[in-house]
Amino acid sequence: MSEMIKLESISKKFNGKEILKDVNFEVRRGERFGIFGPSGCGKTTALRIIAGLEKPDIGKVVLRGKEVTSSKTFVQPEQRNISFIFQDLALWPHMSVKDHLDFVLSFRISEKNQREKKIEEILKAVNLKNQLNSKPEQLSGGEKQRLALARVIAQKSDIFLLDEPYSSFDIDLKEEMQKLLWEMHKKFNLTTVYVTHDIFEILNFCNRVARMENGKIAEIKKPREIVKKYFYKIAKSMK
Amino acid sequence: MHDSFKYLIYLLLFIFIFLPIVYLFVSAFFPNFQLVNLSSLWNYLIFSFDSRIGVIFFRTILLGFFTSAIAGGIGLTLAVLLEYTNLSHRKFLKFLLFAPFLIPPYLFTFSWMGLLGKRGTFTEIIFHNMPLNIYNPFAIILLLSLSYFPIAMFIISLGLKNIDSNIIDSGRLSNRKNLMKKIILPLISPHLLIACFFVFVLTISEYTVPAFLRVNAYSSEIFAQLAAFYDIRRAAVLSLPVVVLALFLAGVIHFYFRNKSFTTISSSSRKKLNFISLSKNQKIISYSFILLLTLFSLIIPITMVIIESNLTFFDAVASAKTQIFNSFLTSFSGALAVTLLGFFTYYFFKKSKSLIALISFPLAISSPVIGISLINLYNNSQVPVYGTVWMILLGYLLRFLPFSVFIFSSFFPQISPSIEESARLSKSSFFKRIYRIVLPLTKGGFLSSFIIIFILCFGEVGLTQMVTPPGFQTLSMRIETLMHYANYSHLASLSLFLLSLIFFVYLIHIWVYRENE
Repeated sequence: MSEMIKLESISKKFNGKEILKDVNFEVRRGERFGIFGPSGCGKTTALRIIAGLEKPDIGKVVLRGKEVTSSKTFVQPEQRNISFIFQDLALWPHMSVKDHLDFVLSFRISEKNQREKKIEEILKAVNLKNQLNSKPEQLSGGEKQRLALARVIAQKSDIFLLDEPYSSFDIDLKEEMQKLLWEMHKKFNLTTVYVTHDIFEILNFCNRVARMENGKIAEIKKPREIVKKYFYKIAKSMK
Repeated sequence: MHDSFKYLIYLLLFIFIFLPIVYLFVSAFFPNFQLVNLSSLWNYLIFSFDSRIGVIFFRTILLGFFTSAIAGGIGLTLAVLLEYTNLSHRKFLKFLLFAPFLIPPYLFTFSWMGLLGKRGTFTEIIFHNMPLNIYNPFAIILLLSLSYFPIAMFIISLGLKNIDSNIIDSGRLSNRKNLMKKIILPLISPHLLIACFFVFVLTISEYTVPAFLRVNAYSSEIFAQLAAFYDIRRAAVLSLPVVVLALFLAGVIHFYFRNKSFTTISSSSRKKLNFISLSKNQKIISYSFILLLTLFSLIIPITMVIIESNLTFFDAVASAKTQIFNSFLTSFSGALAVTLLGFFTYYFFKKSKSLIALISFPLAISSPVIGISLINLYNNSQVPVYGTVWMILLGYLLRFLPFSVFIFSSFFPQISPSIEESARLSKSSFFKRIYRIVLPLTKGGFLSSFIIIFILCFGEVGLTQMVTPPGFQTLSMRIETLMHYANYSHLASLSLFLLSLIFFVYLIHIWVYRENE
């Protein structure tokens, strides 16, 4: 598997407070890479730095073998071809489901008929065909999540970044959405970075995990090993 | 307590805002509250709205339309430049570009007349005996656009700031090309329309600028009915179409945006954005645009006032000590009253979509008519305020409440509703919640409102001169009087003092704002 994402010695300060300290990791093609850790440990900042939405103070980001962030280079986020699902989903409140996809597709498909065909295809894949003209406020939590997923699929990027996308969902909905995400991951041959503080999401979805603590990568292991250690820690604290 | 205080605010708004205006129109159509003969009322209306009035009304609407389009365009450009680009010193530029709004339009026009008018310095030096013709509607549009673009910029900036940064980021990642057209502009369209609406109503109610430039505008016509003929009834009847038009436009805006949210922000995602990266050439063009605007709206007017004052500054100020004290007194109490009512109005109406219509309709009524409406109400009532300084305060409440409410609207969305709800669940009283939770969190808005309203009250003239008690004069009234006597040097000296004071208070505002940040 070739290297899709690589972070080298990334550090970042906000208002004098060190959020990331010498972060290093790489994600290989087709991987489902998790970043796990407590709130405020720098997970989201690391993700935003990959997308180019934040600039690190020091360090290098390489995407698909090409340097996109360093002291000399900075490729704008829109030129990185990255799909990002935000924690609050960031749906556009004034646009219908169809408009959301049309907006994204119009960037690469100029013909209207072709776009409409593509919209239908994507909505079918995420099971949202009946809500074509609904606006985000008219959708349920799960439907909003499907729309966010449909939007990033429309973008046709091979790198998927997810920032705690299911943090506000109940267990059933979480399971359903993870299943859908899994299907999409396989179908579109994606490389996914999944940020969460929920150990079960890591166990269910990821095949490699970086555990973060106070802005540093504490370890990178298989999910089972991380989970084992985590539960051992909990059990120890309960004694 | 919460509800009873809410009803008290309803009552105060009714007494201070609606009652004087409604009473004026009722008494104009039904003198002494008697049923009038419908045919005589009809004849009176036909007599009042002849074809000449129709032409003037149409001309005024055009003035309002073009001014709001130009000021709205400038405001939008500046708001985007100062909120979303990588220009340096954006905060400083924001404060600088808001400053022209604080110069009263009559002083603004006076200074431009000093340059390009018949007695103008520029005209005398360069075009001997060939005065540039600034006495036309186009000059009014340009001058009022330069005077009002800051309020448009302020309102549109508010809209841009309130867009959730994640929404913009997701747009950038998926289709940068159409980000402005398809995402940002539709999301700020309510703010853009409201900005244009504000400028429109301010323009159609402005009477000093058309009067100085000798253009017959509708507001000057209304003022003439009051000042020259003391015909309150006709002035009130003539004001009615303007008020109806303002209410109609407010209704259209309300209808159009009834299902749209004005803010998309979520408490976790408010970040500073500068995602539009300007190239070196684009930066030069942007700075040149800002410099030109500053030159025309700030530097030239202030320089002209300094030149015309002939450096008799201290003599002029010494001769107007009483007026300066009176201005301080009325502006301080006016700003305090307006800010308090503005705070509670926004607090109780923040979820109501009719807020915009409610707060904006008095703006469409020109200052002298507001004055007359107060005289009309309190002259015949048992409340002993007529002929006292209280009338000025009542006038300021009616005139400036919308501005205060708008200032608070930029501070309240930053407080999550759960902050107050948690205080409510902890069984604290309404006033304790206001005093300990809401006020500390909105103190920036409170101070901004107080200072901006203080400045607006200090420069106000049309309303003040109508309701002022005998023997009482403010600084702006003295300046207005000197204008009629054509004592330009004395006038310019006092104007210079007024502007110095306004900008000094504005600097305090900037300092306080930064401290609060």
